[in-house]
Amino acid sequence: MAERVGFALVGLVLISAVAGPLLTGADPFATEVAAALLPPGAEHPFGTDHLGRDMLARVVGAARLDFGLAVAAVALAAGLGASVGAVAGWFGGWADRLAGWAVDLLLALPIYLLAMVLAVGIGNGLLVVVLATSVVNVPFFLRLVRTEVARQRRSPWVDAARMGGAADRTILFKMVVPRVLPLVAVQGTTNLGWAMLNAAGLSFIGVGVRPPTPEWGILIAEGARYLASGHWWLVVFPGLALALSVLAFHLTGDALRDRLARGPA
Amino acid sequence: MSVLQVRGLTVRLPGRAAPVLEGIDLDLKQGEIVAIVGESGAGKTMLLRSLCGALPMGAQIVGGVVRADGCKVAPVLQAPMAGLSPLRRTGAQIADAAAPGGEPPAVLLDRLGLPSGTAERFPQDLSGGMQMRVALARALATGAGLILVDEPTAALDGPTARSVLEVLGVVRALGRTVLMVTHDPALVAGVCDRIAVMQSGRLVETGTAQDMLARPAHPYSVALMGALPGRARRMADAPGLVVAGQERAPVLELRDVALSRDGGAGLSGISLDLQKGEVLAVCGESGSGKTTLARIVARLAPLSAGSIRLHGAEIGAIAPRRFSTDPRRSEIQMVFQDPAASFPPWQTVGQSLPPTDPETLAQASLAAGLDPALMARRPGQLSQGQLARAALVRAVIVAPRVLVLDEPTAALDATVQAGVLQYLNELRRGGMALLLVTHDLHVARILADRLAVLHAGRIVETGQVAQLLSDPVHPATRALVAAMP
Repeated sequence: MAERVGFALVGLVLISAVAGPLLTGADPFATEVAAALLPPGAEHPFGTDHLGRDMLARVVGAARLDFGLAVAAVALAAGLGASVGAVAGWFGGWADRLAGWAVDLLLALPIYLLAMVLAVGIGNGLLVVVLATSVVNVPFFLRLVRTEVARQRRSPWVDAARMGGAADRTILFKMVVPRVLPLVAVQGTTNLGWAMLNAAGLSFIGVGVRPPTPEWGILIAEGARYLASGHWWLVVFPGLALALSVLAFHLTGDALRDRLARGPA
Repeated sequence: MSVLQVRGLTVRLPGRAAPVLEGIDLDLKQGEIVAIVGESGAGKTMLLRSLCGALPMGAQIVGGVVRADGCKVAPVLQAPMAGLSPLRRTGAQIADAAAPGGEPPAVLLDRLGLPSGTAERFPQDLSGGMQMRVALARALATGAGLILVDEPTAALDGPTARSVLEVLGVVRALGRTVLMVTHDPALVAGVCDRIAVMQSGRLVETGTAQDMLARPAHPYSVALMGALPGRARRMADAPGLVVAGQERAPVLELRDVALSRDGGAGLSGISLDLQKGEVLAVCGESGSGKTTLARIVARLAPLSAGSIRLHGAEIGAIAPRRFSTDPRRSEIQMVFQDPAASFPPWQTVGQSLPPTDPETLAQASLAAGLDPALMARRPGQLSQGQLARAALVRAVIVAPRVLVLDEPTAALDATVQAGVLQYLNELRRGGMALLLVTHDLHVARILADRLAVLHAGRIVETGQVAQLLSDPVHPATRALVAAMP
């Protein structure tokens, strides 16, 4: 059940991200001051914002950016984390200790501070969101791959492969790493949800994406000003989209993990 | 007084045509120790589990009666640590299980020969033999009249196994009944009253321990007892191969090999020679450094001092990571203790072997007693015995001059053991030099020419096998010889 809900929601996010504006038919940027702050109704199912823009178009249109940011950040984090984790797990010793310190350091790093420092350093933009989000995601992949590779390294079949004349390089990249990749894929799916939340959080405080670009964090930030006056739909719909996306990737990640555990070794 | 009566017990597992237990009849009298013997897969553990109501998922008792008249039953698991918590002291864990009015944990532990203060220690800080005794003490504390023990000596070396079996005698002296499962009838014969032989889910023969060892009647019992390592004839001294006293360059030479480790047991001053066609056994109790030495010789582990020469050429200085791509890699091969773990589970066995033409591979498999068709299966689909043979094929196919074997028979049933030893002997006849690391002196007696005894990381005694077994000098050697079943 949870598995199907997860897959369905992920499907919805993916379709929104790919097809986006084509689905709603409305232009997320088109303003119509006469129709400002309309509550949800037949013409505007999610209502309109203070400039009369269609909220449905803006919420669906934001999926592409949020999903894209998350994919880029997670891919970067997975690549970096898995590579360093594989080296640390395989060689142990100093490489492992350095990687351990790096993980501790990254886990202690607040993403908002990191993003602001980056924004000052390289200029505010999408790159800041991707980099900051990927940096806080690196420890997950690093620890996962490090632990798994270190475990495999000690198994007798590694010694047996050495007996057969296989170089360490061959054993690590042809035998161990391929066994770890499915785990990385599962972890990556779960982290996509978190990364979307991180990216939206950064936009919320004004790092990276700027209005009028439709982005869930920005929509929530803009809507928050009208919440007190009872215009709830400005915050609730983008918030719901964000929450369901995080849930979707978590459920899917869990489902993949279960399938991996059940499936053939 | 009868403690347990089993009549016609039949147990089925889903998806299996034949029952796993069929028509089991068994009677236990108070104060008896009965051992069930048989090869792995015979249903021994299943019988114990059905007696204490711990059948695996899906297994169903489809017939028969089990009566334990007013008597509590307590099981002791094969791996005692699996049943003990690492978070609580042993005394507290025994008290948790204790029936009211019983003896305090410290007294029970003392009765089972554990040093005072054991109750205040954590189980993981104890040795395997001590853990087994703690598990027994806990079973005693429950007030159980019948204690079911699964392979109490499986993971223990000779002297430790002996001491655990003596403890079973203490349990009997307390008026309790013991039903144990073991694959080694010779080891337990001294302590148990009766032995029941199990084959494919049936009890084929039951008799007193002495009778069963000396005069088994059922053909399967005869085969099982005949295959015991203690009974097997010596194969060593194949004529014309090892010429004593003749000056020949050894294939492998170790000089003052040492390994220092922080806090752990290392090795020091190891010097050994190995000739062509010779079998050198290295024996010692667990923790003496046998496997470490085997891995150093096989160039899988580094050494901190000393030299290893292969045909006179120094190989000890080559880092293990480098040696795997050295052209001499194929000249020293090693077979690992756990054959199942030494094959990557996702590949077929054949894929884990060095590339060879099918004809050679088929011949090598047949020589090792393995159906070549099994090479196309994954390790999970093979039995322990088949995997052990496949591991030998993998090592031998590259035609090594030196073969290092780490406990080659430890995971095997008696009849499979005999076949593997036979094959190793043929390899030796073909001129291969074998370094055999084992805690089982019988294996050394059957196969080896010379024996080196390892104790606390040092070689304490070396000599011809027959001489060392009949006239051991060092206390460590004596302890090992005394523990031979």
